[in-house]
Amino acid sequence: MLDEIDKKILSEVQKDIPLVKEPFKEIGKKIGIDEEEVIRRLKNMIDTGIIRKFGLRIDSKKVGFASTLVAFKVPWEKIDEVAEKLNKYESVTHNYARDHEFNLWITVIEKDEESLKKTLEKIRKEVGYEMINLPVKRKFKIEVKFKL
Amino acid sequence: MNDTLKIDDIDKEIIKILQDNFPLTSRPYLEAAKKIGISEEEVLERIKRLKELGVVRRISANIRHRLVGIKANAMVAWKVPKEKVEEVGKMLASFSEVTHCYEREIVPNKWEFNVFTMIHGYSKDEVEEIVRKISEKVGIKDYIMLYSVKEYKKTYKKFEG
Repeated sequence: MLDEIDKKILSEVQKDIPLVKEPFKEIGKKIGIDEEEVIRRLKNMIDTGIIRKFGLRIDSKKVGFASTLVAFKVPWEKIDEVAEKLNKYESVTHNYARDHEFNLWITVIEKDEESLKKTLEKIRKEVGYEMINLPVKRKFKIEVKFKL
Repeated sequence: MNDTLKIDDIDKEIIKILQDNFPLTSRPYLEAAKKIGISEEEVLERIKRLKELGVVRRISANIRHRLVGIKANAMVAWKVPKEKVEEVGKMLASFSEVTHCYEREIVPNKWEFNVFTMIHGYSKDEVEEIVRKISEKVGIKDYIMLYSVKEYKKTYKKFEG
């Protein structure tokens, strides 16, 4: 589905794009295609879902957000049901079943520590199964691109 | 110092406009500038400043790894002695297959793996091979691989200034 030019574009846009008036022209120059083609291919990759999101990425902590990783021990036959309940929370941004005794893993993000605490308490009560809260102490690497 | 204090309403507008619907046009910053009522130069200047403050990490695409053939990923949690966390954390972060690396709190007797990494590869076999290699290099034998068996949700918190 992806040709070599798409892959080159993906490699460029997974990095920080140049902070100039015409960023797509700049990317095109690097690859050897024109600006229109860069934009057309980017739109196409967004439409087909290869690019999940394109835009400015912020450090949520720096804008005051608080987040954490939480895991639950849910009986496997109940896991879809519990996951659906958790998906209703706007502050639950990631939600995965994983093959472990702690089998449901979510990321929760709130506008500040106080709201996070409240939301976690609400979630703890609503889910009712054993829950562990694993907030970050130190970050060594954050969402770095994977080489194609 | 609290960096949040250095962000004003115009900065917030810029973030709001450019974080989700980054204009795929020749002059994306000009479009944002027109919406806010400032100049294109000011938008660029402000983004530059927000980057220096660390508020804006970068402007980039987030791809669906599965759709480009990177089908396997595992969350790998490592049990690292406290005094080694700094050293091991940095080593883990240096591998290109590791996209995230955090030290997290533990829950005594329930969860004692304190360093979390996300590791990507083209297959489960490859991921396992990578993890073995990394384990050897960093000298941590006690780890756990958590494969995702189902994705229920993956989104991003929007900035609502």
